[in-house]
Amino acid sequence: MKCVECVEQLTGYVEGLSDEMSRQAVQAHLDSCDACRAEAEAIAGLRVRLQTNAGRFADAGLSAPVMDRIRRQQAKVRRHGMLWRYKGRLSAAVAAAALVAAVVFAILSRTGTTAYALEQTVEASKAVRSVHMRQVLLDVEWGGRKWNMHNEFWAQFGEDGKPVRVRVNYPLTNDGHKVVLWEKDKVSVWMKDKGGSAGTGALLITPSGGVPNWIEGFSDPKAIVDELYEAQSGGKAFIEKEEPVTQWAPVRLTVTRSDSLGVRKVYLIDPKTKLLEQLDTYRLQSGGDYKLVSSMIVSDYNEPVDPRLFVLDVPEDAVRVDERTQVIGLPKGSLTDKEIATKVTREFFEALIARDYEKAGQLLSGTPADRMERMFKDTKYVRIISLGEPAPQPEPGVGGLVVPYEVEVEEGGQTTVKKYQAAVRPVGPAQPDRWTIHGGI
Amino acid sequence: MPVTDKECVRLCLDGHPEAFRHLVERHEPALLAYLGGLLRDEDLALEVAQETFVRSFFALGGLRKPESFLSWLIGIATRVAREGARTRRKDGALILQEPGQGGAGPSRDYDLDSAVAALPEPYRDVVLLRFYEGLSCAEVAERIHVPVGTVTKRLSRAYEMLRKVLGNAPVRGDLEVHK
Repeated sequence: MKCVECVEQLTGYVEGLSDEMSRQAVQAHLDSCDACRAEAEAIAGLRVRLQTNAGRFADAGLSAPVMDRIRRQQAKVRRHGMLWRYKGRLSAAVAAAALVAAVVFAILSRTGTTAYALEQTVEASKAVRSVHMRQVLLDVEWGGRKWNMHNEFWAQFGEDGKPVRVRVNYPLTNDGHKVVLWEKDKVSVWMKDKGGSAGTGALLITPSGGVPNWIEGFSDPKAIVDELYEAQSGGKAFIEKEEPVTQWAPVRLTVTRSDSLGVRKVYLIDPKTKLLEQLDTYRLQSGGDYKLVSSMIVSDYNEPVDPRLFVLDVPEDAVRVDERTQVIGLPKGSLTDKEIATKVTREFFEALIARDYEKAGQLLSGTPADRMERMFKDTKYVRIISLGEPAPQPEPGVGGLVVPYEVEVEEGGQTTVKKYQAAVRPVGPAQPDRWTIHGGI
Repeated sequence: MPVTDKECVRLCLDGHPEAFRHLVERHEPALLAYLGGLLRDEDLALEVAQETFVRSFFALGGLRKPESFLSWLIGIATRVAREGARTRRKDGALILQEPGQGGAGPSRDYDLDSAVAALPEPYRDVVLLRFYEGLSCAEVAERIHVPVGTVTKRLSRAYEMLRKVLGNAPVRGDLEVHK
C-alpha cells in the first residue's frame, strides 16, 4: 500500500468502517511507515479534541426558553393578526383619526411622558364599538384544588361609548357553567348545571344596575384605561413605561398603585392602534416576588359580533326566575344574618313538609311551584330533626351563610335522614333586604 | 429521538409546535459550537442561538429542504450573529470574528470552534453532525442523504482543513514521496 492510499483510508480506518482486508492493509502500512503513523496519530488527536470540545455544548438547556418564547410569540402573532383584520374594517373617518392619533402619539411618545401615551389610548378607545376578550385566572383555589379559569367576554358599545350589551362566559364557577348577559334593562344569568335534581338549567333575570361592574374580573377596555388615567392624574398610580423595541412590540406600562399595594398591573398597548391589547395582574408573594395571577387578552376590537351571542339559548323546561317581578325569600327586617338564615331554612322545610310548593319555591330562589312539585313530589318530608348554628359560606366569593340541617324523609318506602347544609344569602340588588336559599338542598 | 428533522418540521407546520423541541435539543450543540467559533463569547452564543431557534420556527414555512435543517439553521444563525454584531459595534462591545480568526479564551477551544465554523458547508455539516450531534458516519450519511463513503471523504478533507488552520497540517508532499 502506498502512503497516499493509506491516508485516503485513514478516516474509514479510525472510524472502524474499513472491511477486514483494508483494515489489515492499513495496519500493516502504519506499522512500517512513521509518516503515516504520525498522520494517523494527528487525526486521532484531532478527533479527541473535537469530541472533548463537543461535550461543552451538551445540555445547554435551550429548548425550554426557546419553546417559551415561541408560545408567547405565537400568542402575540395571533393577536396582531386580529388587529390587522380589524384595521381593514375601519371606516375611512376612523382610520383617518387613528392615523392622526398615531402620528401625534409617535411625536409625543418621544418625550417619554407616560401621560401622553395614555391620553392617546384613551382617545383611541373612543372609536371602539365592540370588543372580544379572554381572561385567564391562574391557580384559583376551589374545592381543594387549584384551577386555571378561562373566561370569555364580548361587549358592544353605543355611539356614546357606553356598553349596550355584554356577554360573559364563565365555564367554571360555584354554580357550574354560567353565562351572564347584561343589557340596559336587565341581567340574565344562565346556569345550565343548575335546576335541581332535574338538571335542566336555571335562568335568573335581575334588573340591570347600570354599568355591569358586577361582572367580576372584566371591564371594558375603555373603562380600564380611563381608570388608569384618572389614577395617574390623581397621583395614585406610579407608571413605568417601556418603549417598544420592535415595530410589533407593545408599549408596556407597569403600574403600581398606592391604593392597592402588593398588586402590580402590566398594561400592554398596541403601538400602532394605541389600544389596550393585554392586562396582566401580579400579586406580591411572601417571598418578595410578584406572581402572575390573571391575564386579560383582547382578541379583537370592532369585529362584527354574532347577534346570537346576545340571545341566551335556554331550553323550555329550564327553571326561570325573574327577580324583577317575583317576590323571593323572606325579609330580614331587624333579624341578624344568622337568624334570617335559620328562619328561611326552617320555613322552607316546613313548606316542603306541608307540600306547599309555592312557598317552598319562593324560599328556594323563587323556583316556580310546578317545578318544585316535579322536583320534590317523590320525597315525603316528615320532620325537621335539627337546624345547626349558621356558619359563613366556605366557598370564597359566594357570600351568605350555610345552615346545617337534619330532616327525616321517606323515599321509595324507606325512611332516611337527610343531612346537609342549606346555603342562604341575600336575594340581590333587586330585593336587597330579602334572603333566600340558593343551594345545598 | 426516532423522528427525523423532516418529520419534525412537518409536525410543526401541521400545528404541533412542540415537535420543535426535538429540533432544538438535537441541534443546539452544533449550533452553539458554530456560534462559539463565530462570536467567541459563550453567553452571546447562547443568546444568539436562542434567537436563531425562535426565528427559525417562524420561518419553517420557507424551508425548502427540511433534511438540510442544520445548514439552514446555521444560515439564520450567521445573520442573527451579524445583526447582533452590528448593533453592539455601535457601543464597541462586540466585533464579530471572521471564521478562522484566532484568539482563544482561557478554557474554551474557540480556535477549534472557529475553524469548524469556517469550513465550507458540506465539510462543516459532517463535522457538526458527527461530533457535536454524536451521530455515527452511517447516521450522518442517512441524515444528509449521501453514501457513507462520501461522509468519510468529507471528514478526511475536513480534518485536513482543520489541521491547516489549527497547525499540525499534513505534509502531503512528504507523504507522496515517502513510499
